Amino acid sequence: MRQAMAALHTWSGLVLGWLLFAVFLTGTMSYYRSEISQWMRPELHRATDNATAAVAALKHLHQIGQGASRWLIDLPGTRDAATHLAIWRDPAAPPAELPRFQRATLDAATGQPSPARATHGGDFFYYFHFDLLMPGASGRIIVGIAAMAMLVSIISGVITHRRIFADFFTFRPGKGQRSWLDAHNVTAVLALPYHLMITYTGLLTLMFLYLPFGLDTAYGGKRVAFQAEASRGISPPAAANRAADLVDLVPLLVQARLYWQGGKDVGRINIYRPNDANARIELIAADEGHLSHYRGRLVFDGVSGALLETDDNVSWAVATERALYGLHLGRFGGPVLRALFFLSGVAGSAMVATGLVLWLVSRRRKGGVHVGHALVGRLNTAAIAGLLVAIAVFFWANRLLPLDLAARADGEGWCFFLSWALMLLHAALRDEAKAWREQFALAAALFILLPLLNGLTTDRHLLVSLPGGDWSMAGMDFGLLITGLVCGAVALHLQRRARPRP
Amino acid sequence: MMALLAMLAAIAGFTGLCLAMPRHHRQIHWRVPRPSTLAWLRVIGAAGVAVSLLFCGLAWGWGIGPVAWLGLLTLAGLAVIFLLLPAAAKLTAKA
Repeated sequence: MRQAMAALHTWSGLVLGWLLFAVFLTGTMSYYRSEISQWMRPELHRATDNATAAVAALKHLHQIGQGASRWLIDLPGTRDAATHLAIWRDPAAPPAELPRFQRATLDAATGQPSPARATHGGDFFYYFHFDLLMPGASGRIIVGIAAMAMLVSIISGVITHRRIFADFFTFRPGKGQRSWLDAHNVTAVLALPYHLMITYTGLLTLMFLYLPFGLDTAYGGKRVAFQAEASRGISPPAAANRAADLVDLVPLLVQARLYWQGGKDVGRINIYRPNDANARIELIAADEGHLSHYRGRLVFDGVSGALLETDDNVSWAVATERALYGLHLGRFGGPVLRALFFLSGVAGSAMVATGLVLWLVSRRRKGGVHVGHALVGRLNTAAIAGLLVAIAVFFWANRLLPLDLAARADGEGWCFFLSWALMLLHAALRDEAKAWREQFALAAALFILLPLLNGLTTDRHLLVSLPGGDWSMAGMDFGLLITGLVCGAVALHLQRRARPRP
Repeated sequence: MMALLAMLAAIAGFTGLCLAMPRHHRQIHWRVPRPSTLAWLRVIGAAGVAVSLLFCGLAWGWGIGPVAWLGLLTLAGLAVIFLLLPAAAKLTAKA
């Protein structure tokens, strides 16, 4: 049993390990998605109050979004200074100047298109970690398979690990394979609840993509009906095709705050069928005090302003799904808890990385040179050290690409993937030990110099952000610096280990 | 404040549980104590971990507290294994 489980653990972990490391690391970075986005849009400053931002955004939507079937406004919050818009056109409606779907980022105070540079910001890593930026559902399906393999690896790993309690605190450095095994065990066991939770809830967030069969049988393929019944959204009303003015938003915002008794504030506004007699306005809370990711919503008639629907009595199934989804996102509980989630995610990335290295170390020790070993060694280097270099390059590109470059936001992404491919090439051509060292050294240099580059290219460097209490900006600079120092420590360690042996 | 206390209790608790194992006494070059002492260390360690949960509940409420507790335990464990134990082993190496 144990041997079968060990084999299962080894192979399910190896085959998808490279992808899992990338998914784990970029997913971990996504806890600071807003902070990354802020750092990458240094032109945006302080947020304004909710009502001003909502009114300004609505004015802009009236200008650019006529004929749309739905408007979405994400109001600025404590962690994001900009207002984000999304506009949908009914696919059945006659093609207008309006595209099927578009997004915009606004300066929260003026409601004008944001003066910030074009960038995907933290969204780049957020989307990469579950759809690999691939078209359609293909990326999500690949990540889903990887997540399933992860779950298999975790469970088979626990069964394989004979001495969970006896080895709970055991780490023996400088002993080759033994040390790698200890490091793999410690990062796995100590954060085991996190690993299980994040993998399971990650699969759950896309459960209807992976297992739509029950849903389609019960609802005859009418997904919208299910969504409405499960309170995941409102069932959008059909257009009355009679024009009607939208009700003033400000009284609704006040009413929502009173309804939630001051405990929550509006974070997102959905407007279905704007400027139609059947318009609906949905207000969603931005509060961060609960596990659930869906924090209460109110639906108003968009013309009369009457309150139509509240969200107080959801079924247990819905409440459970929301709590589990919320656990995955980790947006509750404030900065300390977010830091704990982040560190657990780092432990998870380290677990995958040490597992990949361990596979190779244990096989090499048994002797023999195998072409598969060389292949795994090179892929390990590029997947672990190379990814760190690519992430650093992404931030460099954000500061160095010309501001008026066409398709600039995608250009940053190209820099990321090109540098990653370059690292793979470097790993393929170079001696393996040297490739590890050089890539970690390069990542260290790139990360450590980023705060300096930030100082040279913007006016929001540490000398300004620290005295000004701009914690989001300063925190990012420090985070980049610490990442660089850790990479540097790894590079130095590899250097020192290489020296005694000629 | 409560979060800090929870962290300290978790580190203390894990240190107790760790020192309840003979091999970690040897790791930091201490004489292995009597079995009854080891049993007491285990009880005290478990109590520290439990008290940490109490502080987490007070700091975050009982909905989020247990989640925060598990995160704190991870961090506390990493601190004991990668900081405290090696530092203690280095200090006692010559003695």
